[in-house]
Amino acid sequence: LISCFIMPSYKVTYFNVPGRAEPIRIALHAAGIEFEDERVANWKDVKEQTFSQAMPLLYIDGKPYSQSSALARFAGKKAGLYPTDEVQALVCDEVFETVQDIANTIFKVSGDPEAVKAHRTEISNGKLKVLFGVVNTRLSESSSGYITGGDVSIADIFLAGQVGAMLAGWLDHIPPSYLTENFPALAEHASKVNALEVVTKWQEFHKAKSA
Amino acid sequence: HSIMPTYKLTYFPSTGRAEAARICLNAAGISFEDERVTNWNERKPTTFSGSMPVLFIDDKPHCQSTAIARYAAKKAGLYPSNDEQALIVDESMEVCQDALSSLFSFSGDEDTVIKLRSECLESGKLRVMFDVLNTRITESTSGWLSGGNFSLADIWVMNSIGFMESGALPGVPTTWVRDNYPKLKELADKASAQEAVANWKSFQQSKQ
Repeated sequence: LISCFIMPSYKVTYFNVPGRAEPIRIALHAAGIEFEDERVANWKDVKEQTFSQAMPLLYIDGKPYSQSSALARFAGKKAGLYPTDEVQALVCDEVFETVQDIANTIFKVSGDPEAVKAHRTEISNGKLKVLFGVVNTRLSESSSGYITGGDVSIADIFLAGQVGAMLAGWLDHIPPSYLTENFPALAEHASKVNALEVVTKWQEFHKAKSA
Repeated sequence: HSIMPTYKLTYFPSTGRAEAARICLNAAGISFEDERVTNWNERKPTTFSGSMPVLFIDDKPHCQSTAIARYAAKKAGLYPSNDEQALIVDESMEVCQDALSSLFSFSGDEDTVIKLRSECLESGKLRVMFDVLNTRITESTSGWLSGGNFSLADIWVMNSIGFMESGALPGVPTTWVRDNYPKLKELADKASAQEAVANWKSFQQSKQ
């Protein structure tokens, strides 16, 4: 009896930025899973025809799945980037969702430049301190240098992506010094994680494909 | 041998974002202090994450409702080991959260909020999110959201629907889910009758 296992086809659909899709892309690539890396430029035109009217989306054999945290966890499991230990997994999930909250908090106000400035100034002294504080605490408790206390995971990758963008000055009104002064350990963690092969391998692959 | 950790779950008195974890911890046979906070405004600035629920394991706090629920569900055998099924479970929880937060995203006087919520139910985020859940339950060959066994996803959706049916949300008729998404209402009712859920309810009643 010969059985033939056919790999499913995978497609990741998102904007042409790292953002909330990058952990998914990095993990699928690390898992050796080939996927179509779809970058949408005309989201407003196509939004209403999509499954959840939100991105990222992961298509497995043409079937859509939504919710970036769910997708990252799925891909992370495939790549060995998600802990099997239940408490480490709890910490991974906790930090991943906290990074989601950080992004949601920052981008809650958009458009009017004065409103954005006021909002970001307020949260820098308030909610962001609390949220980064949670992540910083988890990192400080870890004896491995990675968030869960075990190996590198999607939590490290997602966090480092967000922190890296902030350190590169991507956010108006929240300068790199915000992190280097208040949470230097997170800045160090991001530099370390963003230099790991699991991250750079994907970036180089993507760069070569887009060239 | 290992000594069982102590567990405490801290949340408001309501079901909300903690009920799924309470149900699952209980189903797992885990004894936990079920702390209900009534003075949150006072306590908030002193807390680890400025949010609830919090699960304390040997006094170490962990935040994020879906993370806590997933941990508890694994302990209870209510989280799938199949990756695709787990993906649907995770997706379902996030979809419910997006659905409910959309109803809380409106500001203004009550009439304005009612109008905006009605639009949201009719054609907005809430409708889109419920369509996602409806697709999942329709596709499932097992009658449970994940396509496999009864899981955390069914519990989470049950609680979300319960909240929407509670009448606590002006602009959200108590019969809206039943009238618009009968399969999901049926799922919620079926989930209610499951041992894990029924056991938690009777345990709570026995404490009163």
